[in-house]
Amino acid sequence: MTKAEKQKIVDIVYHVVMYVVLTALAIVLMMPYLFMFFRSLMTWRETELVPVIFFPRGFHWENYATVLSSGNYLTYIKNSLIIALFNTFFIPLSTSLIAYGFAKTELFYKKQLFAIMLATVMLPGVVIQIPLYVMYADFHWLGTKLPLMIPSLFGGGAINVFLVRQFMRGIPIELENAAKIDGANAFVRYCYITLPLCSSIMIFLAVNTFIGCWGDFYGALVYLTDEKEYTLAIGIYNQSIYGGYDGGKTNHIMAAGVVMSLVPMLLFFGFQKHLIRGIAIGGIKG
Amino acid sequence: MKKIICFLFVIVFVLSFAAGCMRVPEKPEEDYEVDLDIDKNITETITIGITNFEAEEIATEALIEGFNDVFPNVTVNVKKIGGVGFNQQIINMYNADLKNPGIMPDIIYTNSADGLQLIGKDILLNIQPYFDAAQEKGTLNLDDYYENYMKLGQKGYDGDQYIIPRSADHVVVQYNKTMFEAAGVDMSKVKNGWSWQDFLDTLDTLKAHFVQNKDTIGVDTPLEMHLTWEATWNPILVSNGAKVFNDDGSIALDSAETRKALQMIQELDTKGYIGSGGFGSGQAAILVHSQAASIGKAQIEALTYNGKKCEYDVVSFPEIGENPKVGCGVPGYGIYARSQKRDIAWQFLQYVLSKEGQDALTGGGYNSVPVRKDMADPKTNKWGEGMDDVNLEAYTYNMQNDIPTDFHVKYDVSYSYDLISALGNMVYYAISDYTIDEAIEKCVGELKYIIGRPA
Amino acid sequence: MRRKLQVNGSVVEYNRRTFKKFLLDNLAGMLFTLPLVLGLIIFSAIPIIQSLIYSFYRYDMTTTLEFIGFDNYANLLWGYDSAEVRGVFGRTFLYAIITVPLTLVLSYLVAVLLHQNVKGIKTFRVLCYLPCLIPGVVSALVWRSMLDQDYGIFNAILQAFGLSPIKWLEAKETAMFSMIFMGLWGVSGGMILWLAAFNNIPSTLYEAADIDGAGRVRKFFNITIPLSTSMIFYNLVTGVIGSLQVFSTFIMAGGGDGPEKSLYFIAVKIYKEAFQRWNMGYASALAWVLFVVIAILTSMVFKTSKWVYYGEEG
Repeated sequence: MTKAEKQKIVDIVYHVVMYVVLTALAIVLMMPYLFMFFRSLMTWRETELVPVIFFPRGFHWENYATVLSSGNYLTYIKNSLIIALFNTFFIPLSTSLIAYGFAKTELFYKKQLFAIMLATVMLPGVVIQIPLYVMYADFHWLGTKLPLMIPSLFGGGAINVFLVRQFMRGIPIELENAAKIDGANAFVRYCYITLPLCSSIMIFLAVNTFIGCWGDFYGALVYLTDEKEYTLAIGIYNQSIYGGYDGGKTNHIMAAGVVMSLVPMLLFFGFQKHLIRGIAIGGIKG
Repeated sequence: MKKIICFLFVIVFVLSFAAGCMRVPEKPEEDYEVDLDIDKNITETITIGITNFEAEEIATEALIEGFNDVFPNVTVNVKKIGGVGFNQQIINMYNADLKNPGIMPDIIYTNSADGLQLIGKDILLNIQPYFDAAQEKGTLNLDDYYENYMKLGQKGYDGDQYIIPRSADHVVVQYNKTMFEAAGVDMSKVKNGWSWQDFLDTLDTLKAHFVQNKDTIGVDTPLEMHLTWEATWNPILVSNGAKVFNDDGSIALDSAETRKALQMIQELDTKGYIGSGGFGSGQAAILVHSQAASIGKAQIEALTYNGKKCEYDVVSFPEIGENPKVGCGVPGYGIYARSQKRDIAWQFLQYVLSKEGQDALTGGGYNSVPVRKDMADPKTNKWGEGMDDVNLEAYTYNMQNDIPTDFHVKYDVSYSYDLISALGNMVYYAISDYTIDEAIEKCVGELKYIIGRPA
Repeated sequence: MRRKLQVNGSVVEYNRRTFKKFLLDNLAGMLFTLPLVLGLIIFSAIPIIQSLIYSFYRYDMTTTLEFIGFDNYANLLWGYDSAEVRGVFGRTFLYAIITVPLTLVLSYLVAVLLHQNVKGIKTFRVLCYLPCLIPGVVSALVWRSMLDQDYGIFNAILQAFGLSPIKWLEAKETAMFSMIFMGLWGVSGGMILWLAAFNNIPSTLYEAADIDGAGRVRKFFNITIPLSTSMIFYNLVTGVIGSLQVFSTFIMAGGGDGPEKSLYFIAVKIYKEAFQRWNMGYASALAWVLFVVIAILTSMVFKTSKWVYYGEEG
C-alpha cells in the first residue's frame, strides 16, 4: 500500500466516523423537535398508549386544523403577531437612534450614561417586576398588551445598543464628515448615511426581537388577564396545564407547539447569515 | 461628575416617591340599598366572568338563555378568564379595574374553595342584604336548599352570604359496569351505602382481573382516584376522626386517627389498585370523582371491552366507620363588590337558584346535581333525563354526610390554599417513599411554617 | 476664540456664548439618547428604588398597606421563612454552578465536532442549532411530556434497554437532575459562539504551532482557550445572571413547586409571593436580596477577570 492509498483510507474512515457521529448528534439534539412533531400527528389515544410509541400510526394532519379552528388559537396568534411586530419595528429603531447618539455624536455625559446603561444588564428582571406591575396599573395598562409593547420605544435593551454602537463605530468617520460639510444635520446623517450601512445588524436585531417576543412567557403571564389578549405562549401553557378548551389533549398541544416553533424556524432559515453573524458579534464582542 | 450622579440619583429618588405613592383602595360600601323590584323589560348589559373551559361556557350560555326568557332585554356578556390560576387572574383584573373601572365583570364565577380568597380581598359583594330582602319578600326560601351547601357560599363557611351555590358537587364512585362484570365482581355489594371493605373487596377482584388481562387493557391498576385532591383525602380523614387543628388553633394532626386514615389511603397504593390509567380511556374500571354523570357516560359508552359496548354506572362513595363522610364542594357565582349593576346581577343569581335556572343549567349538556332539595329526585327532574339506566341516586345519597374541606377556616383565608396543599402533600408523601410517621411529621412542619407566617 | 474674546471684551458674555455652543454641540447627542435616558429612569431607576421602598412595607395592593421596617428582611434571613429561602437559594445556586460550566464545556465539544472540515457540515450546524429556536414554553411542555413517568419517551427508551424507569420530574431526587439534563439540549446556543470564536482566531497561529510540533491538546490550551477568554467571560457572566433567574422550572413543575419543592427556585418564589400570594412587599425584599447577591457575584467575576483577553483593540 502506498502512502497516498493509506492516506486515502484514513480519510475515508475519518469521513465515515465523522458522518456517523454528526448524524447521531443531530438526531439526539433534534429529538425534542421530532417527538413534538410526531406526537402532533397522533390521535389522542395514541399519545396515551403504554408502552409508549414514538412514531404515529397514521398521519393525522387534521389535528392542525382542529387546533387552529378550535378555542382561540387564531386570536392568540394574532396577539403574538401584534406584539412581536410592534417590537420588531420599534426596538431596532430606538436602539439605532441611541446607538447613533453614542457612536457618532458629541455628548458630555456619554461615558457615564453608557456605563449606567450597561449596568442594567445585571439588574434582575424580577427586582423591577413588582413596581412595574403597580406602575402599569396606574397607567391603566394592566390587562392590555401595552406593557409588552411600549417599553420598546425607550431603548431596546443594553446589549442591543452596545452591539449596534460597536457596529456603527466601525463605519468610517469620513462619510459623516463629508455630509457634515454639506450641511446635513445629525438626524439626516443618521437616516441617510449610517442607517443604510447598518442594515445587516438591523436585520439581526429585528429577527432576534421577533423570536424573543414570540416566545415571551413571563411578561404575558404577569400582565395579560383577558382571554382575548392572550399570546400564543400563554395560550399553549394554559391548554396544557389547566386543560382549557379541549381538555389539554397532548396531540393538540404538540400541534400548537409545532405551529409556534415553526415561525422562529422559518425566520432562522430566511436570515441564517445575518443571525449567525449577529450572534457571533454579540457573543464575542460582548 | 460625582455631583451630577448624586444629583441624578436624588431626582430619581424623589420621582419614585412621587410616582409610586402606594395606596390601597377604599373598602367598598357594605351598607347599600337593595332594589328587588326590577322591571322585567329593563334594557341593560351585564358581564359574567367564567373560566376558560368548554363545559363552563356551555353551562353559562344555557343559563343566559334561560335568564333572557325572564329579562329579554338584558344582554349578558361572557368574559372568559384564562386558566393561569383563575383567582390570580381575577385579582389581576381587580387591580386593573380599580384604576380603570369597567374591566371586572359584574358577576364572577367561583367555587367554595377559591371564593374564600376573593372574599378576603373585598372583591366579592356581601349579598346577605339581598338574601334577607328576598326572603322577606318571599322570592327566596332557604328551606329549599341543602343547608350545608348554602353554607359553602358564606364567609368562613358560616356567616354572611357572598356566593350562591350553583350545583351540589358530591364525590361518587363511577364505574365501568362491563369491566366489573368481566372481572366477576359481586354486584350485590355494589350499591349505595356500601362500605369501605366492600370497596376494597371489589378492587381486589378487579385487580386480579387487570393483572390477568394486562396485555389487552395496557395497565394492571383498576382505580383512578386522585388521592392528593382534598375532596378525596378530607372525608377519609374526617370519617376516621382525624383533626388537623384543635379548637384553639394548635396542630392536632399527629394522632392515631390520622395514621389510620393514611393507612387506608396508603393501602390503595401499596396493593397496586391505583395507577395512571385513565377511566375515560378504558384503562381503569373505577373513577372516584364528582364530575357529572353525563361526562363519564359519554366517555364509557364510546368504549368497547372484550368486543362488548361498555356500560356506565355510578354508586355512592363507600362509607367509612361509624361516622361516614363524603367530599363535596360547590361552584357558584358572586357579585363584584364595586359593580354598578348589582341589582340586575342579583336577579341573575336568583335565577340560578330558581327551579328554572337549575333546569336550564342541566339543559346545558351536563347533568349537574341541583342544589335544591325539592329537585333531588332524578326520576322526576330534568337532570335525570336520558339517564334512566344510571343509578343517579348516588349523587344525592345521604347528603347530610357531605363535608367540605373546612379545617382551614380557623385561620385567615390567605393561608387556605397553602394549608390545603400541605395536607395534600402529606398524602403524597404517604403514597411515595415515606412512612406514615414521616409524612405526618413533614406535614406538621409545613403547617407550622404556614401558620407562623404573618397574615 | 481669542479674537472673540478681544472683540466682546466682557467675560460673562464669553461664557454664555460658549455655553450656548456647548449645548448646541451636545444637542444632537442629547436628543438621540433621550429615549434611553427616559427609559432608564422610568423602566429601571424608578422601579428599582420603589422596589426597595416596598420591601419595608406589607403591601398587597388590595387591602393591606403597612410600614413594617426591616420585618420582611428579618423574616427571610432568620425568621419563619429562612429555611425555605435558604433552600430556594441553595437549589438555584446548585443549578447555576452545575449548568453554567457544564454547558460551556459541552458546547465546546459540540463546536469542535461541527468545526470539522467535511462536506455538508453547514447542514449539520443548522440541524444542531434548531433546538435553540423552540420557544421556551413549547420546549418546556415538550420536555414535560418526554420526561413523563408513564407516557414519556425516556422511560420507554430505558425500558427498551432493560433498565428500570426513572421518575424524572416526579421525585425530588431526580427533578433537579432532569432540569440539568434538559438544559443540555441548549448547548447548541453556546456552540455557535464557540464556532465564531474559532473563526476569529487567526489561522496563522495554528500554523505556527503546527511547525513547532504542538499537539491538539497544547494547541487548545495555548491558543484556543486564551484567545476565546472574552467569549468565555461573557458567557460566564450572562450565564450566572441568567441561571440565577431561571423561571422554566415553573412550567416544568406545571405551575407548582415540583415534588417536595425540588423545583422551587428563587425566581419562581418571588413570582409566587408577588402574584399568587400578593405579598408585594415581601417579594420585593426577596428580589432585593437576589439583586445584591447577583451584584456581588458579578463584581467578583469582574474583579478576577485579569485572565480575559479582549483582542488588540482592547
